[in-house]
Amino acid sequence: MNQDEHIEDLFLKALIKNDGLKTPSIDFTKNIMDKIPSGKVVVEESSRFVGKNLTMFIFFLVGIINLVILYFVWPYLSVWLPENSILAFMLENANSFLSQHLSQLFERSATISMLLIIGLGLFIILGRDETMDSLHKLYKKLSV
Amino acid sequence: MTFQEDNIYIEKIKKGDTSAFASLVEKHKDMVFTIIVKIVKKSEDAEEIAQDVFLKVFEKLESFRGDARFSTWLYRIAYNAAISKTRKRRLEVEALDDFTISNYSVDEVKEELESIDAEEQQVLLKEAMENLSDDDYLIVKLFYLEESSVKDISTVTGLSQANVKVKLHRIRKKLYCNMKDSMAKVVENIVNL
Repeated sequence: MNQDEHIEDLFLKALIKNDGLKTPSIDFTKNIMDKIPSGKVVVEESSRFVGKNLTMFIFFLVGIINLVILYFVWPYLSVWLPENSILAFMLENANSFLSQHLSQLFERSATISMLLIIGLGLFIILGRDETMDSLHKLYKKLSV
Repeated sequence: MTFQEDNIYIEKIKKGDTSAFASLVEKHKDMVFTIIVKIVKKSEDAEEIAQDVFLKVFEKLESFRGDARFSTWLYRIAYNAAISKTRKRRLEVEALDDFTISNYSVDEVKEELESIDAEEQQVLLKEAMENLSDDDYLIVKLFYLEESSVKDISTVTGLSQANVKVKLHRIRKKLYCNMKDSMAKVVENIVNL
């Protein structure tokens, strides 16, 4: 029998467990808690704007600033650029692409917002159950 | 008693829920108090040191990374605080060559003990425990009651793992011998009556 088996002694363990420990006064925990300021944050929760989040924030900020500058500077800048250069071509296309897609995006957002407002209004006026019933009926009709 | 439970409390405390610290104190106060009172002897002093230990732990909770068990970290702080208060020297390294404490066979003593009732067993153990040195008492409580591993006891006491094993082996034998002696004394008293 090796030494580890010797020290693993269930009989002794049971006896020692029953013997228990020495106990401090009844108000021991209370005395400690009285000395601890309540609601004190031991460790500040890590800010959202650190590490990856901060990098993303800066990335988008720089991107937006660049777009704004490009928007305002473009009419002046295009004068100085050779008409058939690749840079002029890229900027021209980027500009038209952005203006086209951004306007579409705004239009879609506006439509979605309107639908949300109407839905919310119905929800408030009719109440949750009736709205859900109506939606359920509508879904059934559509599925048939 | 799971150390995962400790980690849940710790996370709550770190997020500002200081009331969760009360649960940690409740859970570990007895062991912390036992460690300290065994070293400093006086109950009033031990209580004061134990409170300081918990307050220190609360302040330093930020530095607790959870690599080791919280209880091991806490007991080590408690042990160090008690030692530095009494200026007692640390545990001495036990010689690795184990020697026989007496000629009693542990298995024989165990058989005899098992034949007597539980209450008497408990009385004999209490007496045997009181005869142990303070350090041996702590090691045995950590191992058998707290179910701390040899590695954790080594972290708390500063002894090597090999030495903790040797100590545990010897303490176990010492306990059985002390209980056997007490039993013999009881029998002798009965015969003399």
